[in-house]
Amino acid sequence: MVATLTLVIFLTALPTDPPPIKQAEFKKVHAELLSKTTETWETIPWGLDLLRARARSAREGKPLFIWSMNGHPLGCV
Amino acid sequence: MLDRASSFHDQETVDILTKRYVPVALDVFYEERRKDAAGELYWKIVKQRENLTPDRTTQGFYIATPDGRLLNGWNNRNGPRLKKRLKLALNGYGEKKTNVAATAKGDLRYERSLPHGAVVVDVRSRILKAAWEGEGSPWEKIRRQSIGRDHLWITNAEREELVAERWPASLTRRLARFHLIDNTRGEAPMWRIREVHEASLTLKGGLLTGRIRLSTDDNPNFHPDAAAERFYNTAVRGVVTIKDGALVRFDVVVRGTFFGEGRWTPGSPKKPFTLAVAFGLANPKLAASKVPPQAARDLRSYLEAR
Repeated sequence: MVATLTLVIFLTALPTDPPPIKQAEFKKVHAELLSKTTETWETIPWGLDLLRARARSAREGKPLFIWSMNGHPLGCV
Repeated sequence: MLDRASSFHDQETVDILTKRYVPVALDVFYEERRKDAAGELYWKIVKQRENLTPDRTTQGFYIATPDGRLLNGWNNRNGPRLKKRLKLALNGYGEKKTNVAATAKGDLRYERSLPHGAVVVDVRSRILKAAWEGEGSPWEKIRRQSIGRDHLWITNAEREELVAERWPASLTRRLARFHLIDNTRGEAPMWRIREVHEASLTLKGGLLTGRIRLSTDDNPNFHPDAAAERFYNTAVRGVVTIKDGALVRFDVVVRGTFFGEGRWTPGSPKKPFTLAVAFGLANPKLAASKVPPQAARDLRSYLEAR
């Protein structure tokens, strides 16, 4: 399958190739992007299922707040 | 993403939503298509929005009663406006507490749940370095710093391969085609299999190394002056750790030169820029970890990644 993917094999590095990622950069970038600090919007107890949210809304006497996006608001985009 | 960075930045807004509302986040793609009780309720609510013509997106914010009566609906990211409307809708809200069924037979074509034995991985993307034109408006500044989010699903079979210290080819394909994208400004185009020009990853002693070259050009040279509509020429490094037969660490960084944009991701730097995509095991206790990968809209294609 790897062979299928390697549609074009570059036997030598291209001048435009990015340099390899070294350990220090790896740690820095990984920590920067996957920081465990919680953003404000993440503290909201978002539901993911409209019917379950409706049931809770009815049970607790609170209005529904729907945030809908093309691409899940809590996921992609 | 603009909504997250602007609409929900204010602590009072967060408190109101947390204590006095039942907040739910939905992907329009699934809700608009499903032919079941959830889809009916969604359409009942959104159709009441003022000026919502059939050709317009149903994206937005909606405040509604549990029986589907719309109290307010709009599609704007303005934070102060959101707070004002949340407060306004609470004035005189007098729905009685009732019991309503929480589940109903769902439209299985649009149900997405983690396959048995699969693992969820957080995916984050960010532009690290770019020659932006001008300082940009406040909105542009947010966009330039924003982090794209998604999830990668590692199937049970792939997890077993990793436990045996073998890197599965299907995982390379899925990672390359669906996750090495610039989704920092919205829904980004993914890669066709023929646009994966090289994908060579090696896992040895728990260290993952390699490179992946992606381009819409048939004969790419990844040069800024090339005719390619989009390209991403990357280096890959990761650490995969197995402990007592379980995958306990999956930390991967992909960094390289990206160029181009998609229909829904305008505003990219005009010259090639440095984009990084990082991966790490998700916390399964968080609700957000249940959100399926963006590319799982076509589930079979996503899992097979051919």
